Amino acid sequence: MSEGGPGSRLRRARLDQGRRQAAVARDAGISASYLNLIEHGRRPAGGAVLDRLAGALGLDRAALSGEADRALVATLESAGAAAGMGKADRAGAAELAWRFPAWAALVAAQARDAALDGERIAALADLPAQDTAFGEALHEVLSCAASVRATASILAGTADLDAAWLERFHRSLDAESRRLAAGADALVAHLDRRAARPAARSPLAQAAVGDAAPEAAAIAAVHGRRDREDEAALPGDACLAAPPAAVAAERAVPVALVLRRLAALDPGRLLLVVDAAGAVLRCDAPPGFPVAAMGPGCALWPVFEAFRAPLQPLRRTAETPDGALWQVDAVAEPAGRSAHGPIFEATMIAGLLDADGESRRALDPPVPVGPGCRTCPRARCPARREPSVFAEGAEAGQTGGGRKD
Amino acid sequence: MGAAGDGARDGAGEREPDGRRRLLLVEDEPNIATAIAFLLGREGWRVATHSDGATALAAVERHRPDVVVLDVMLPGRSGFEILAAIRTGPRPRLPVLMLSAKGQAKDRARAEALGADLYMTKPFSNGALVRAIGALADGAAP
Repeated sequence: MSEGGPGSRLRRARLDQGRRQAAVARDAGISASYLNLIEHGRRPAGGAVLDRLAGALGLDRAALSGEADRALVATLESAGAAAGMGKADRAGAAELAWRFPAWAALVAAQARDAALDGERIAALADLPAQDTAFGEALHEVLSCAASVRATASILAGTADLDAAWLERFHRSLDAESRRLAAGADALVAHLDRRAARPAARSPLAQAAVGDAAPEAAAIAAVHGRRDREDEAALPGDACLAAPPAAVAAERAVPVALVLRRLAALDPGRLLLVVDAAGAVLRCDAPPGFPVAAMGPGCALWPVFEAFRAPLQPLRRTAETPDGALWQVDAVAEPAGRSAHGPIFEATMIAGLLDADGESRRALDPPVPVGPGCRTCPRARCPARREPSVFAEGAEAGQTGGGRKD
Repeated sequence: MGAAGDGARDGAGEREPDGRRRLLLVEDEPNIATAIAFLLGREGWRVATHSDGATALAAVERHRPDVVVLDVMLPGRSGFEILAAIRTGPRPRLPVLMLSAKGQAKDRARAEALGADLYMTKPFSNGALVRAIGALADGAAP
């Protein structure tokens, strides 16, 4: 089925059903000779004709056009490659998809699940670096556990311990076990707060970058209300019709509103809102766009550049440390007013660009962004303000600072 | 890992007048430092402890240890930075055992790249730690 175009798929499907060309053509409302030409690739099959033929054969149009098939075969080939299967064996993916579609779909689904599990495991392994509060809480627990284990082992294994050492180690054990209990409680509380965040996701919970403290919840509430107002002002997908600035001008709404609507319509986009102090007020980060779970972000994010020219939308190409390119739109607009003038807030969205080779070279030089210095692997970044926990970054002439990292 | 097993190590073989070997323990957790000092002292080592990363290099010069046990997360200067400085200093082949709660593969790889002789994670086995330090002092790979 995967070889050839829709015509050969049509022919195979018709023959599988044991039907004659004339019968199928009649049901589809076309002539038998036209169907014959289509089946042999002498006439293209598409549009309404393909819909009618699919209906006549009781099949899904995507199956006849090959769209679903191609995606399935691609998934199977990827799964085979990931399992170390050779090229010759992987070439059988198309045959599997055609002859045993249910089994092929099952294999593909399991391959996707396995890939997702892999991503989850990788994210968990990187958690101590991404979430510094978690990393510090974990370090505290491990240090206490080390102390308890070493001390208890001495006490259990030393028969002739003199009274002074005995008292010292007992005191140590008492203090460290208390500290261990407190550290474990702190770790659990932190994990509970993390677990609570996704529950309110989309788009409320993402407002809080940091623990779900009362103040974060208040910020989330503001953004939730704003989302509802945005949707009322720009319902449906009208914001997709033109560049954000053009949509904003046509509908007489702020550019930031258009950006927020674009992000709401496409969960694959990053939405970032910061205030003029650099605080992240909202961050809906899709997989792939690195944003530190805690602490300040990257000074090179175009969202900060937007403050240089308020009310002027800007578009940039950004490159994340993994080499992926993102199309970024940002704008700074007044969010309030004080006695001394407007209070600005900047909004940024970013969507992944599918750019390779020539198209990549044709783009403007991308802005090299990262998640924030603490977890950014870029060694030579002019905007670096603190060492990275990653080797390359930390070796860029940075000291460890005074904190107990 | 690193130069363990090279034989002629910087400072290795020097002894206190009473024949005891010298260990410098750079660790800012006092109860862990006490336990390790006790364990090594019982094995005949003369143990000096130091808790500040910023002045750890000066402590290395002052104590002229046979082996250094180095925590990674230290106030003032990280164990990685101290290790890098030791490897480019006057005793580049001084045996160094890194002892850290940072147990991820990238931490271990970084220590290895910087020239650590051994990387052990916390919590640790007392016996394994004592044996590893002894092996490093003898110029043998633990």
